[in-house]
Amino acid sequence: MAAGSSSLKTFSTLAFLFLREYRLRFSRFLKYGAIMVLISAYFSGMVSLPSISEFAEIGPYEVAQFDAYISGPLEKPDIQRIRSAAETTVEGVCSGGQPVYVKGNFAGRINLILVNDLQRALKISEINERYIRRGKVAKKGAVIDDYTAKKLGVDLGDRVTIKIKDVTAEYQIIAVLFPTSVTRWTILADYPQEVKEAFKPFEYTSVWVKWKKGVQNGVIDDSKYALLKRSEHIKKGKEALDQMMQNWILCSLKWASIVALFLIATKDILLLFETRKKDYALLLGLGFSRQSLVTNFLAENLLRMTVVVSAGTLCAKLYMQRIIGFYYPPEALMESIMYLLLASITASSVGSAMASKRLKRISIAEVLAEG
Amino acid sequence: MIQVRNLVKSYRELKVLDGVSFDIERGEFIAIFGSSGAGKTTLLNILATWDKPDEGEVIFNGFNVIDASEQFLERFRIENLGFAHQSSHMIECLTLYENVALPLILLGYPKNKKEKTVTKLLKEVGLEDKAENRPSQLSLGQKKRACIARALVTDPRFILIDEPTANLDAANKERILSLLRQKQKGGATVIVATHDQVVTNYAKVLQLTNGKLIPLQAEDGVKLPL
Repeated sequence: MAAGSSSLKTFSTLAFLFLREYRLRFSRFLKYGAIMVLISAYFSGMVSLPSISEFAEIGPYEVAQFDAYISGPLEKPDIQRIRSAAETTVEGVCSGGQPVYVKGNFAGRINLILVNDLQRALKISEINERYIRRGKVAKKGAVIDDYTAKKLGVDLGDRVTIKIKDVTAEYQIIAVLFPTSVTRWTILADYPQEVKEAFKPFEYTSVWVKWKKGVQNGVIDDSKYALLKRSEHIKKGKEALDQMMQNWILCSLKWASIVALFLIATKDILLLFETRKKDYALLLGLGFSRQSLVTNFLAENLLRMTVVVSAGTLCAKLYMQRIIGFYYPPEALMESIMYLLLASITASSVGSAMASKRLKRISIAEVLAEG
Repeated sequence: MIQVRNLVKSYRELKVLDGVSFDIERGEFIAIFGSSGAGKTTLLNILATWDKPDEGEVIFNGFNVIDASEQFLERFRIENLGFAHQSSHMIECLTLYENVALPLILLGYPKNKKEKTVTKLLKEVGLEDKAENRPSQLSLGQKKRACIARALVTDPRFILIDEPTANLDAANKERILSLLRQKQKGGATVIVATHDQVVTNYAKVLQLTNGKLIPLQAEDGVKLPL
């Protein structure tokens, strides 16, 4: 009991001592900490990429391609979306025999995400309007609103046949949209009357859904979709590239980021030890135990790394959302924090173990005689 | 009592201590005297258990500390030794007062007793008005006195000071040496390493030359050749 109390006292003394160091050398630690926060933020973005690509943004009454992924680092060109200018009103027949209205087409690589924060999603959507290029038409799955779905008695997975100009394609209903309170009536201005009628209950310009996993996307009968069909070679090449991007590059990037953070954090911890070496030698000379110094160093680094990584990830989230307009979903945030904390906690343990080894080899007299 | 037996210490090719042996009785004031590079600091570091010799024994009250475990030495240092190293190293983020009080914190002194002890000692070394200063705000002489105060603060049985008069003016030399003499009279064993002749007025002198000890039974007032 007495030994425990004494250890606690030594621990708190050391904690107090080095907290003072942080206060006294605040600007240095601030600079130092800011660098680590930025590193964490950068790696956080990298780690979050694979998570983000699991979600997709869908426009209202659009036919969309949902093989969403993000290519390359998080820069503005990467959040470009290609939206169709084709305003063809199509009338299809769903499996239940009722007509389905699909307005406009949507194609491209979809980078934006929203699951449960509709207001924010719409704000981001406005930002991203600047990056929308027109002129491409999409293919694959069809998206309808929930009102229409209920009205027609169709649900996810049902098939509909859609006629666009001279082309007929069979789609699978791959998403059901939910209306928001945001009004933008002009969207319906140039639409045929029957479309306006159908759209009337929904006062929104854009809705966001969480993609339902396990629902097969895409055109079921691709051969009928000649207008948009690319050569098989290009298509396969693109698909292979997409797959590689998704599975290989992004995953490699994620793990490389985690390993890099681990290495940087370990180096950082060892540097901190080196700057304090003389102080530790003096404390040992006064009678402080090596064990107490190591425990204190480990606790300090665990705390420091946790703060730095959490701050870094939050900075990344703010940067991505506010500056680039890229929604950073809570799931990705949690995953990033988890991975980076794992990396930094491991680094703290490894760094402290290495520091402990160095501390055991320290010759007090030699260290204090240096410089 | 301290018994030093056949100490040998080399740094690569250079033999710094070459078979040094001597005995120090309890309550003695010993000055290890010698020119620069004679091995005084190395000898003091070994006595303070901050360094280990290649060969030999250092026996404190019948216990050879050279073979002692690290855990034992940690307790031994804080409970028995007061050592002021030549470098006068202090922890930069702490004030002078906190630096001096560090050993007392480790020993778990209550706040009042700690404050009383440190304040008294700072007064004795003439630094009472600098208590809240940081080490970077102190001169070399003031740092030296602060490190001596830190060495004395636990009232140790063995006091080891490397170059106690370095960077001090005549008045402060007198103040520090008187303080050490006072501690000696209180029962502590005081060992200093010095090349300053003034110190020899206060202590029994052991002269170290080229790593070998030449015992001169110098009494108070005996001047030794430089």
